[in-house]
Amino acid sequence: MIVDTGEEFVEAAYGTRLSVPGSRDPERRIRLHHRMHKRLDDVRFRFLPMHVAMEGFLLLQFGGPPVAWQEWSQHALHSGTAPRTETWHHGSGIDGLDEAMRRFEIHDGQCGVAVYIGDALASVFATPHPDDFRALYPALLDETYGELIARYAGHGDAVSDMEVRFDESAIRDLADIRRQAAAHTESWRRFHDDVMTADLFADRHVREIRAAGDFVLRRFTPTFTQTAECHIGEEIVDYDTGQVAYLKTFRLSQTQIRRGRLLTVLGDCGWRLSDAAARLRVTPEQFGIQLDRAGFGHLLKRHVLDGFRHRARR
Amino acid sequence: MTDTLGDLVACDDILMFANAAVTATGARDFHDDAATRALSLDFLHEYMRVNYRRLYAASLALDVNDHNAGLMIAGLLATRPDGEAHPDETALIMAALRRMTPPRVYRLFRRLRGSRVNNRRTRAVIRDWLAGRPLALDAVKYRTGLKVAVRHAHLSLPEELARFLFGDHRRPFTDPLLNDWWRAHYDQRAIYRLPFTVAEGFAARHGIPRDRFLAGIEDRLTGLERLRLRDTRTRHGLSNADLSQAPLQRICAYVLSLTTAQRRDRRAELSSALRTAAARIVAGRRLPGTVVAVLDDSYSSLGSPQRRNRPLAVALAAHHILAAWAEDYRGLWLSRSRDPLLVTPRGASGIGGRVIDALELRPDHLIIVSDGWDNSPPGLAKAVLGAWRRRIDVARQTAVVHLNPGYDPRRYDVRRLADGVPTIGIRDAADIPALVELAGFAEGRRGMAELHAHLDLRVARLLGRGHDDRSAALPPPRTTRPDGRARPDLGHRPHGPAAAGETRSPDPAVPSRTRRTLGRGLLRR
Repeated sequence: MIVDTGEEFVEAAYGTRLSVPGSRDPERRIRLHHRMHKRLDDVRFRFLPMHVAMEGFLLLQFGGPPVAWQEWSQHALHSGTAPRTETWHHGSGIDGLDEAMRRFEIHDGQCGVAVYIGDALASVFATPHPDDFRALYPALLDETYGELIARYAGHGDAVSDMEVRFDESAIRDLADIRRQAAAHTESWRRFHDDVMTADLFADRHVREIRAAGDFVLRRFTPTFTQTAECHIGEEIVDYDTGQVAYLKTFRLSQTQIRRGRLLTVLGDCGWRLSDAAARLRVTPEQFGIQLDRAGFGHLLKRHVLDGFRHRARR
Repeated sequence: MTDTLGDLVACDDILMFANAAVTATGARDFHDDAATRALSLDFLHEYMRVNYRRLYAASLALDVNDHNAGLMIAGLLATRPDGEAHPDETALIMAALRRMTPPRVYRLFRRLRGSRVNNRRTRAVIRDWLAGRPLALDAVKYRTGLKVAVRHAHLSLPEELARFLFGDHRRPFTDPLLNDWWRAHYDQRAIYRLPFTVAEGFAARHGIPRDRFLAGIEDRLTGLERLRLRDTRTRHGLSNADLSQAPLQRICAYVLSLTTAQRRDRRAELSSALRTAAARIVAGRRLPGTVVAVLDDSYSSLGSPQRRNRPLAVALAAHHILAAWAEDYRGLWLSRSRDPLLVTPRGASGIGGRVIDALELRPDHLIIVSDGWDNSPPGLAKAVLGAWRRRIDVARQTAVVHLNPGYDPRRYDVRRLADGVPTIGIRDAADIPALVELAGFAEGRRGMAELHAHLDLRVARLLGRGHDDRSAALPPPRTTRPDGRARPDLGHRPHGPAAAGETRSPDPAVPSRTRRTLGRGLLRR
């Protein structure tokens, strides 16, 4: 979350933090200078733009080679994968998202929303209280979305509604109609939870960041064992009941998934090139080229990469 | 029925157009911006004008709103009437112009000038309309509009008006209103004899305190200005006239502009005004049987900043009219609010669920007032109403009608809830009694002959050939010929060759006119 204190700098928590009253750890705060998408002109809370969280997030995850294997460049040894830049699309640049958000009629008591763009789950956002949701709902437009989602938004027409259909042969009176309407709502809810959001929690690596009272703040990343649909995000849940008090997710694009997968494999193999290649069932040369294509060419020493390229060409 | 396929298509097109012309405006709406609507409307008007020019002109006699009437007139005047044209096309245009508010008409004239439509008929229409206007008032109140119109129609004005509009203002005028305008530059007392909108500018110029100005100008306020200034007057410690004199839908819009706390504080005053205004519309009529209304107060009934709360105001007005009109009435709001005075646009549109609630009461009439975006869950209302019609109420004992205040530019029509349920565009809730009575007959398919008969009846009424209260409400033609005879009502003018001596008029639709001075001697050609 971002807190604008009305001073010269806007301060952001390094990801969402959870603390008990009275305790503070100021060294984990960052000051934002140029990274703000939009100047905050009034004193108010806003959620951290996802890309700030994201880049730091990937940095924490992928710190660089722990052992100085000879293939890695000086840069990789000193700075890990940094500087890492990812391209994101700002919500206002996604075709039709602003209109869809303006037209959406917030339900009474609604605390969260799953944003689908072209029937693809772009983000899930949940808050503890309906009033929080109403207040923070417009901030969804200030969020960043992956490249994939931006492409989907540009494609074609509106997705058609899932319309209610009754089995009219079974209808004899109004009670039947009411029953079928309720059954439809229930089956739609099940379909949504089981099918539409199936990949959200399917395959993730959860790290508990901090606990406060009954609640715990957790961040999750995909394990990248599957490549279908990967989400990263953070959540605050009740420790005992598992009930979600805050949730924010972000869908990675295919390129980001490929990069994440390569880095995860590298990390698992202690950044040993030959092991990582064996894990992915490719030759070290092919793995090196994959790294290069994923934008990590600078991590390898120049002559090593050139050697890979030369051998791959033959 | 001997209708051909072409007739059926024409029939559908006309009904679609009638719905569009009643509901569509140039302003932004909840679901679409102004540009989308303008694009859609322009196409629809052109399509109708090219394909059904005769019926298109005749639909000027329906309750189309001023925005669409303006578009229709502009389109008709810009194109040459061909063999298919309505014999009374120009008369219909004149009658429609007389129904429109003067600012709208002047806006139309400006539009004609902007699109360089300046044929003989256009000039004649402008001249004839101006002949029925108090020109001194228009010169003061709509100065630019009148100027544009006079220039565009090549009219020459009497010396004093011409000097007022185009010449120098150094000498006083003999006309009292023009003279007051002249004096108001120097004399604060003269301000209070001017129309409010003009006086307001002078008051600012003289630095008159707002409360003193509002107290002084009270007699010159029009009904709507009085309503608009209510809160300002209260703020300045001035009393207001009785609210119930205003039209019902305006009162509803006013109520919705207040905060819930204010509405609670003034509950007695507001409810009695709403009841009185509704009773005035119903005028003692009674609708037998039980009536249940499903009224949309979802977030989309907010409308747009340009037309704030309009769909909700229609629903609120409908609630009060039905309460006064029906013997046994229940209003079901989507938000499940039990207090209609406190409704606010909020929440999702669960129309389907409320329709089930309504049908459980076994009403004789089910009336749904909504923009037709049934989204919680999508399509439930359609499924419920379809199943009800096909499986339960096969004998059609419940008459269902959907009244929609919003135009959907993608369909060139109002948005429908379900097949088999007539959806009718609604502009003013005061039309509800007529629409509900009509709906029973609209549920079956209308034939072309029936449609023609209906349109002919409406045209006859508009042109003052039938017996109708609406035509009685029209101001009688105010102009007389210099020889003292009343100017013949254009509507009665037989269709045929131009009057003798009129050799320059090849177009029979152009009303014949001598070159002598017309209309109170103010306009010369």
